[in-house]
Amino acid sequence: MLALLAVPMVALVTASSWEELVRGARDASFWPALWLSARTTFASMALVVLGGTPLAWWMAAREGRWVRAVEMIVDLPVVVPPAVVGLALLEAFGRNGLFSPVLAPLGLHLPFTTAAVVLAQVVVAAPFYVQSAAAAFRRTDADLLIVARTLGQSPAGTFLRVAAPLALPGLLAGAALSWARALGEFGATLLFAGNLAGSTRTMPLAIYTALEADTQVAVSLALALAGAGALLLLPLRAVPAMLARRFGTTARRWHRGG
Amino acid sequence: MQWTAKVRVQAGTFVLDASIEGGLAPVILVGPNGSGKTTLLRAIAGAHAAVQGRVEAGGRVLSDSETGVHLPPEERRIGYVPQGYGLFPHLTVAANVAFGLSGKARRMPGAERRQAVGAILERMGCERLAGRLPRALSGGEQQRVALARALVTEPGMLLLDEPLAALDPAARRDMRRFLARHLADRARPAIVATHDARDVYALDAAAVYALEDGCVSQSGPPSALAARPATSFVAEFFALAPGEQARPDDAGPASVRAGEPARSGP
Repeated sequence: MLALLAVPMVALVTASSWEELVRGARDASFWPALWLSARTTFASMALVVLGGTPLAWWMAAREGRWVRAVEMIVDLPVVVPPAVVGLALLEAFGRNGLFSPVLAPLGLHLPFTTAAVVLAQVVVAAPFYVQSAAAAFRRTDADLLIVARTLGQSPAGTFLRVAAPLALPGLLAGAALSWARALGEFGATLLFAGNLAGSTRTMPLAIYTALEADTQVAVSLALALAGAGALLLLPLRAVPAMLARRFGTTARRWHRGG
Repeated sequence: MQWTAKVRVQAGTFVLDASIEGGLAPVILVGPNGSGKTTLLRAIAGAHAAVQGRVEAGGRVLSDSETGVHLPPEERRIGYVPQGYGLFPHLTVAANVAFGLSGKARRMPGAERRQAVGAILERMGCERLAGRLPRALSGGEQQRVALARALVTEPGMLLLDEPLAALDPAARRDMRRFLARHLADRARPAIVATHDARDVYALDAAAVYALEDGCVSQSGPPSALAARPATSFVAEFFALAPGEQARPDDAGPASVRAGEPARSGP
């Protein structure tokens, strides 16, 4: 199993020489795709964290039928194939979609724009952050939150000064997973945003496009993306372990739900 | 200063319905695990939103479900030390103690705050711990820091949930004396939940409330409960304190007491 996980990556790394890699990186399609991926994933991560944190906090503070229903909705984009998500986004926000009576008079046209790329990334990536954040908030000791309130903190102050710092390893792990998912987004983007150079052709779509013309460029793009993914392992594994050591909790505890 | 708490909380199938009151001398809550001691303390602290009844301390109404009053915890001026002490693991001892002086309710300028923190840590005998994280402290040290953190905000009332349960016997004896001294010379009401009858005498409690299944099964001065236990739990509770009441040195200095029932003892 381990070999199956590692061998393709090794093959990718050994597939080309340094000179060929540099040539691939100089290709006209490389930097625009990289820059677009960086911009869109940054925007989608900001939206995921800003919108997902309050949702996760709400889910962690309550239990019952409503929370279970919300949890199922949050899980939905994970189990539904990306292509289906892309089609669903078109049906919702497309020219003749569910929201077209609202969007069209405002002159808003989402499909095949950079905004559509961001929207697709938010939908497919948010569940990973929300689940991890909710699990982290659930692990915080309720007594600590009560104590913070009795010491004069408002609910917002309690969240910022106690709940968020204590859940930080889980929030970081969730954000890293979520970012990795957004960075790799392909199917939903292709259907909802298309494959337009400069505005919707992110790295994964550029790899797919380059493969038809120049395999070497595709390999260069793929290695850059793989490198970015490897960098994301840092906040995913090392940072939570480090924080956990500092606070005296075992690292293992943080990994659940991460 | 008098206080009363008449509280009804429903949490799932568990119902807590209890009415307790007291003055300046400590009131002790006893009861088996799951009898509602922690729920009652949290309700008084204001942590339960859906609570029926009325809580009043020193003439101030903290909550009253009839008139719709429900002060949030940050406005109640109640110090709460939970089981396990509730120290913030990501903050140093000094930052833990300073926490209550930086919130909305009781903000202090930096220099004044540092002075207040230093003073209370010194009084609690833990000034040398100021820079440490809670995980580097022993149980007794954690309890002292938690107490310092609660007291530095000058709360009108103190709630301690099993303050001695997690300590080894030697630390427990020290801490019991320490608590007795501090509760006595601060002259502020305190409710202490405990599993140990020795605490009742050492803290010079005015009254004991026995909670069983969410209801008060018996209450009164310690001597009355010890002499005529109404339930098998109360009988067992007091039977487990062999002769402790005969040792006045454990009770600490005479406390300020205002019109509470006669002092416990033989």
